[in-house]
Amino acid sequence: MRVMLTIARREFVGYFITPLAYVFLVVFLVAAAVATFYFGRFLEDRQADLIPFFQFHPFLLLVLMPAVGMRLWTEERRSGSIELLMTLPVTTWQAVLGKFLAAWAFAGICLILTFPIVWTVNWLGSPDNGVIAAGYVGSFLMAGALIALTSCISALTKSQVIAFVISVVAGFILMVSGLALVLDLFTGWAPEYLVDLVASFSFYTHFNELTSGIIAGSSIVFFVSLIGLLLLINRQIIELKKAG
Amino acid sequence: MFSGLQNASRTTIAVLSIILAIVLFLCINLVATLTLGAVRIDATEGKLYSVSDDTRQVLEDLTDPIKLRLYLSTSLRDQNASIRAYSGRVIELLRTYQTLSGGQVDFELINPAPLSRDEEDAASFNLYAETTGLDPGYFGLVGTNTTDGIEVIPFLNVAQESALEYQLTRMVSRLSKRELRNIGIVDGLGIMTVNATQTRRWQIVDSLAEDFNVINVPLDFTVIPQGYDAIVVVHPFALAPSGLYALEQYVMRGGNLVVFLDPQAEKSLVSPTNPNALANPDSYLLPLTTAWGIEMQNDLVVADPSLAVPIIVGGQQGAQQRSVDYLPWISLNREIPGLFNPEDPVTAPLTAVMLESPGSLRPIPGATTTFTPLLTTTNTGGVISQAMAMARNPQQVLQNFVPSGAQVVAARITGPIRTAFPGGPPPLPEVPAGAEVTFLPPPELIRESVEDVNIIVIADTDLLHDSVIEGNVRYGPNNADFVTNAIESVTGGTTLTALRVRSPTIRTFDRLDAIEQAAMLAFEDDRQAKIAEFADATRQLQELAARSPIGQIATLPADQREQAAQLQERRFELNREIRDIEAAQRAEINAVESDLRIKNIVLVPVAVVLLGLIVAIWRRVRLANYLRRRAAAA
Repeated sequence: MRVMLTIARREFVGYFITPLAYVFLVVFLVAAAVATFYFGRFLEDRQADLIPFFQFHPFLLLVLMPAVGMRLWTEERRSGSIELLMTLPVTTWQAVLGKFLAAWAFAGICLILTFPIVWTVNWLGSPDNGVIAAGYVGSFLMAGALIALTSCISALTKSQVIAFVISVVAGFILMVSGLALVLDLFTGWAPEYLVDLVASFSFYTHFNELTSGIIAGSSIVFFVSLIGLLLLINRQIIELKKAG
Repeated sequence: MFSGLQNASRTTIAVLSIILAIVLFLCINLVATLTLGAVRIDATEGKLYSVSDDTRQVLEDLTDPIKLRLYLSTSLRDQNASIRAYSGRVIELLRTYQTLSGGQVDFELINPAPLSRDEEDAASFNLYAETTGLDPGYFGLVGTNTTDGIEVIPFLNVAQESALEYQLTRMVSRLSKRELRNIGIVDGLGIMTVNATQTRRWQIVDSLAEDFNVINVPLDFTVIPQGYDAIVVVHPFALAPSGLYALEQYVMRGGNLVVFLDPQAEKSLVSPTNPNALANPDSYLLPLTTAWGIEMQNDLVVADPSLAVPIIVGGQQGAQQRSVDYLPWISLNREIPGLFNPEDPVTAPLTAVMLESPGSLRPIPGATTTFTPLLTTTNTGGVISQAMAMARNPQQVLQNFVPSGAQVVAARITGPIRTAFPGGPPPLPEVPAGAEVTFLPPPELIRESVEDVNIIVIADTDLLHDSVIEGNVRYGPNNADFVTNAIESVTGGTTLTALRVRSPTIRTFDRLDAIEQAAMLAFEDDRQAKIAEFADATRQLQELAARSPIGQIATLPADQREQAAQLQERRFELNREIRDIEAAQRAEINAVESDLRIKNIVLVPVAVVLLGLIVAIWRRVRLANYLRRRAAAA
């Protein structure tokens, strides 16, 4: 545990000694605010809620979280430092979890720094802060799932660009799997329970439920188990690469 | 060779473990979807998504089985993500009902395939068929009981998600009831009338008919017959003394009563002789209200700038269309404490009630009854004259309004009462010559009520109108709930009153509204003066044009053409000045909005950039120091 936290701390601090982290933060914060105020018509609609803010989160996170996570393993593999890392007295699990936690914490910082919108909506009216808190929980969990996905994919390639593109595409598929676009591929030939299962893997469905103020057990299980699965695959890939 | 084998087996183990993990992941989620449906935290302030105690009570009280059939077309569900998500919630809630009812509720999920028997059934129940593809898609609920009672929700609308529990519990509650209670409506407003100009009764009557047997009581009644659970009196401007006496004696004998009075019934009939006036604008129910220890202030209408509803004005004489708060139209909102009586079951669960030009109720000193306010304005409330309300000029009201404190617009009257007819029953109405009408004899006089009365008086009738109930979604129309709660409360029932309005609270930007209101007041005199001047210049121009035989200013003598040019110029100037004033009125709002945009879009990113620079400089300085120390050491 201590080793894992040490790795997480090192990785986390590592973000802030390059300009990249600041660029990500600025892009995320500006994009989120611009989307809320201009595309979401936050001020024009005069409703004291953060629907215009959260409705763009899936798309923002879909692009930015792969950008944060794409270098998690590609960099180690490209520079060869993965061999060095594996000679250290740390297990693959500790390394995978440590790196993931650092990136997830960074995503958390991104979300925390959107606090002015919460202050603004409370200054303008009396919003339901319980719903807002649930929305943040949803965003944080979705960010975690996208980072785990990117981390897993970044272990397969030495190219950050490839890791980024594949992660965005895979994330997009998970995002829209509850929509007709994807379900149409299954309806007609697959049994109904399989269609239901595919639909229940939609980020969007679970995220929408959370942003409406329901922290459902099934949504939490979905995100946590998905993160667990992806990290496990991530670990196996590293193990294989190490062995190879 | 061994290492090759070892590698192969490691690869196999890794791939197998990944496959196993995926299977485990699928199983966990399948089980979670099936079993954790009800496990969730409802983070909303009003616990909108939790099953309430009232629902539990209704389900526990069921004595006879009820069958609920959900018709859900999988084609419709699969085509629409929101219906897919919502249907999951509906199914989960229905299963919860099944469990909570101890088996009395039997739930069945039916996929009405095209051209099947199930589809025929769905159509025969008048379920709404959404046609998004080739086949009709159903998402409706049918409830039946053992005595052939049928309740139908034709389509479960996703937009009404927050009212889902109410819809379902109401269905179960109605199916469990053997008999609806009877309410008689004494209708002075025409809410039940169907004639050439009004092709259907008001929606509020339809809404009440879902919970009560609604019976029209003819206005010339001389006695209230047995069998009514409550009488609802609406705008009683023309009740004969014998009718008033009958009503009073009904109450004296323990009858339940809800009264809607109004100093300015805006939705009442227009005068046949003057289209700008109402035929019978006000109703006071005198002398009964006096005997009950309550009065509605004569010829005065309640107004409140804090609760005023904006209406659209302008669009004429060069002025822009704009929204202006109209003080006598008020929207009472749960967000402002003290408007709804939190102790009374009628008002405690309400979120928003809209009233138009209501009256001000107050107790008469020395009354034997207790006066309990149900709906009250804020402390910035006050009254304006009925004549001013009749003129319906928002600017005039804004300029002349003087706040005088909170006004009560609905109240409950409880306690003993004395008769308003100590001299005995008034004479029966005269039967017109030739008419075959026989009036029933009046009831025997009772001078004091046999038990404490329980009357609800509401000083507005416009709240019953369709346009007020549904016209302004932004303000959350809960008028129908208020009316149903009031009637249900006097008849003794309280179940479902709390459920009735568990819809999300309408939350708006109060601060921007306040800023806008202040800016409007500050510049309004000047703007009105300019508009008047503009209208005057236009009139003068028209008069000049009229002097020309062909209506063309160009054909007028030179001096008049000069005058017309000056007037035209003045009109352009005034138009610009009016626009400038309107821009000034918007200026503060614009300033606040752009300030908020800057704070949200720029502030934190700039701080992040600064932090980045500080970290970079600090690291550079630290590196330089380190190198310097190393050089010194070397």
